[in-house]
Amino acid sequence: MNRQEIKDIIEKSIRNETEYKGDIDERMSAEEVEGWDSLAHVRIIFRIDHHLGTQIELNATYATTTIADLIDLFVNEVK
Amino acid sequence: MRIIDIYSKDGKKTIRAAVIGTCRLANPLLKLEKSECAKVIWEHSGFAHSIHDALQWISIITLEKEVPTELAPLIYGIPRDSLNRTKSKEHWQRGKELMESVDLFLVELSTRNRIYTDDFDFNSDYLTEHFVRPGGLALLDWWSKVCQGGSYSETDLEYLLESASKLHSGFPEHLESILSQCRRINEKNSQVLDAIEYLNHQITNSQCTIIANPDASNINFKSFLAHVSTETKSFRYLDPNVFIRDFEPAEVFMGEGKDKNHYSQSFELRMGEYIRDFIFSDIQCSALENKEEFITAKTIPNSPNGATLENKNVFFDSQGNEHITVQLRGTSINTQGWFRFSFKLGNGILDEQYSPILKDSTSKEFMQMNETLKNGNSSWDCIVWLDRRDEHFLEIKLKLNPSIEPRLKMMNIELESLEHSFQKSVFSVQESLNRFNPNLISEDTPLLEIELPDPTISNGTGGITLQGMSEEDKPNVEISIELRCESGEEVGIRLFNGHNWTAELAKTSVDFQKIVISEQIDNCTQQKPRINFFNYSKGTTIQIKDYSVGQYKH
Repeated sequence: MNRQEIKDIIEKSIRNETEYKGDIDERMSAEEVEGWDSLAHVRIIFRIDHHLGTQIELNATYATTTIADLIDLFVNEVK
Repeated sequence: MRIIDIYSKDGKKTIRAAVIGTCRLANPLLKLEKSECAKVIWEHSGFAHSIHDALQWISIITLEKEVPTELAPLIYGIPRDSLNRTKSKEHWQRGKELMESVDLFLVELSTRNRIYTDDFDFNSDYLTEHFVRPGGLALLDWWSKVCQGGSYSETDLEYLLESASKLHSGFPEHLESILSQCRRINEKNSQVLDAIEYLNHQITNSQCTIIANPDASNINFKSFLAHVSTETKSFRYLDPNVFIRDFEPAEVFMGEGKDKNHYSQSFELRMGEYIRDFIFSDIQCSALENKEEFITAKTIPNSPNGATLENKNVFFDSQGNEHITVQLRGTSINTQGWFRFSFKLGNGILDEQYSPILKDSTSKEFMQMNETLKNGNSSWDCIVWLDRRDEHFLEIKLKLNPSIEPRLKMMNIELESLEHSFQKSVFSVQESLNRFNPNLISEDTPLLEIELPDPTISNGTGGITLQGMSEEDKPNVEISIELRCESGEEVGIRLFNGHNWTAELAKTSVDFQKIVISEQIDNCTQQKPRINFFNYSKGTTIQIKDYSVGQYKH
């Protein structure tokens, strides 16, 4: 699975869990996406996990700042 | 949950504390124990996030509430395959007896989110790890619905129960009650306060100290607790950010400072000592205050001799650069609002064609600063909105006159809070990359000017968010807004009610007109109700003179 496909899954998961309808850009952080709170964060990660067949350590995701960081984390996870 | 004897710095006094919270409280105190400055005398696994988790812990340890073994993973965090680790009756009895001798309840509050069924409060981390995650997509969809305030029909619930039963053999008795009753609410500050008062009532012989989560996103909640603690003295309050802000984030938090949920191991002992010193002090409330001060300054490009900040003056080198950016790092902003930022520069320092521009680090765009000439110096000022945060950064871009002295001085730097101005807190928008950029253009007769997001790059879903609504609220609202579009453009106005858009409710005109919108808000969700503007061209600005929202609940 390439980076773009992973990015699409992440974006879809973010929208699914936050109901966010605005533009999403890789440079954005969770704070910039309305509805992305600590509970939504866990659901976003679980949903990405479900689609990618991964089981990422949640603590690793707390150390990401932007959506781009999250994409890179999952790109490494599926390798 | 632990009962810990904590020793004073000189070792002469001991405070017995019931410690309820997360690793942010437990680990620092365990580090104190390793340094022989504390002793854990009773413990049981299980972190608490909300005030209701804490209240439940008190009921459990006083043996008023019994947790069925089946629910231990969701309350104590004990994995299903380790349930033999649950403690004996004697252990709980011992805990109850020790509670009689507790001097202090040290409670960490990390959230206003409450997750509960009719009989139990659940820790969200444990529920997601031990219940939702093993249940696959079906339970993730269920959990999303719970968190987003949705509900299941009876038929859907039966179907879910049937599929979840196959996945969750571990919850034979409680699966149905969890699936059908579990709800999540985001409590208002006043509801949290009621729960704290109830806790105080439960522990009449002991003192209560609340410790906040250091995460800056909770700052509204934290400033509320600090205020109540100071005013009522019914509990003591400690915001760890008072201590943390003297360190670099990478030193304090894991993940090189990015993971604000976990202190780095090397910082835990320092935090433990800080908590100890607070509980042995007479301080009622230790919280961040608005200081409106700047701590450090730097320039881009870097000043060869360094940029120094002394007594509201910044000294830096021009180095023949045409453009220079001065970055100022300031202390905490505890009350969000409008601030006037100003400074002075000697005459002739700047290229006369270009005014300095300013932006706060969280803004996407720079604002033009205004000049006033006084005694041969140019005084520049600008009104800027600052949100609550632990520290803030302002950037000022200057275009320099090429024939100036190499060492420059930016004088009388001030950030002054404007207390009675038009509130901007309602002007948060959904479109982060295309933010509205409201400017307070008149301070005396409050008037907000807003440049609407570029319609060619925006999806047009942002707007003026209606504040003060909690999820599941269904109020009737009456919105009164007095506005105009000076260019004469007829900008469409509509309302997003939490789920759907209304048709066009009004249009702007060239003169101020008062528009009253009466609508019912659907179940509030994570997507906040908002007044939205549409059907306009790029660069359109509107001006708002008056704005109010009345809510009438059923």
